[in-house]
Amino acid sequence: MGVVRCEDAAPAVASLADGLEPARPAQAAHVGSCLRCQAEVLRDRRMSRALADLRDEVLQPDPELLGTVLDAVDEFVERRAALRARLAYLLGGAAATAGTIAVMLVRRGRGEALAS
Amino acid sequence: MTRDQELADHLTAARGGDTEAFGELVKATYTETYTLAFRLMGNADDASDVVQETYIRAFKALGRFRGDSRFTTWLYRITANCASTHLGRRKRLRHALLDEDTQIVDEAWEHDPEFTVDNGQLHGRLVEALQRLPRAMRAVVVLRDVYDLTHEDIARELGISVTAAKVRLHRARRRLREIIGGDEADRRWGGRRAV
Repeated sequence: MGVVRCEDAAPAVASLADGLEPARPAQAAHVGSCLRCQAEVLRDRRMSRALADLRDEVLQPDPELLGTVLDAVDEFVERRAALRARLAYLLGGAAATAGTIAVMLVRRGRGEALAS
Repeated sequence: MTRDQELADHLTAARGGDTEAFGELVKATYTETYTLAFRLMGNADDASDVVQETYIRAFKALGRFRGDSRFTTWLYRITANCASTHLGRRKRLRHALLDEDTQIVDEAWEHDPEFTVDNGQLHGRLVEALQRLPRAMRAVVVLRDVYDLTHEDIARELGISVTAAKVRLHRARRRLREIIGGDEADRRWGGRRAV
């Protein structure tokens, strides 16, 4: 196992700042013995908490956005319904064709049997 | 009835094929979705495109929503994925997006006479600093610290490894500190918040 440097310990710093156990024990051990990395954990944690305050902030979009989104969903629903109807039509047609061919084959088979 | 209960009712109806109920879900959540999309994309036009795509994908995937997370969290994951796809598409077209290691130097911050931030201004500074981060970094830190997605979910939706997500997260937090003003921010936040 190689020596873990501060720059290699970034995943462990991020995990510890979030209150999680680092995935790599070697990185965790490095942070545990490195004051610089421990300070980074604390700074990351403070930044994380400051950012969490933005959670409640809501930006107002263009007033037309809601209508645009609802129209897009409606359009998708219609397109999907049309596609499904077409698919059903094609499958129905294919089934009817297959049935017709099957009947013809059966009749032909019977005809050949009678002739022989 | 709480908001979560209302969302759950609309969700149940929407999963049963009720498109009006899905419309109610859109109405109840689209400003939050837009806010996240704006933070990820950095401008209103792209954010609006991402919101539209998000709800189409959400509608298609309703049957796969297992309810093991909140509906809004599930929606945030889809938003993150759409934003990532949108950015990837644009990157292919322009070949000129900022690399995650690109140094962001904003001299205006250094020369700003009011660089020493008041706590009341911190919020604004933070929002501005976020917008100055390279997009790849911004996505990770916004999803983790603002929207509380797990490292695993972030990695999955952005198409990167969990380790890469953590590295970006740490770099993004450090870069934010650098943008806002390192020691000054440390001193103020350190005094304001117990660690």
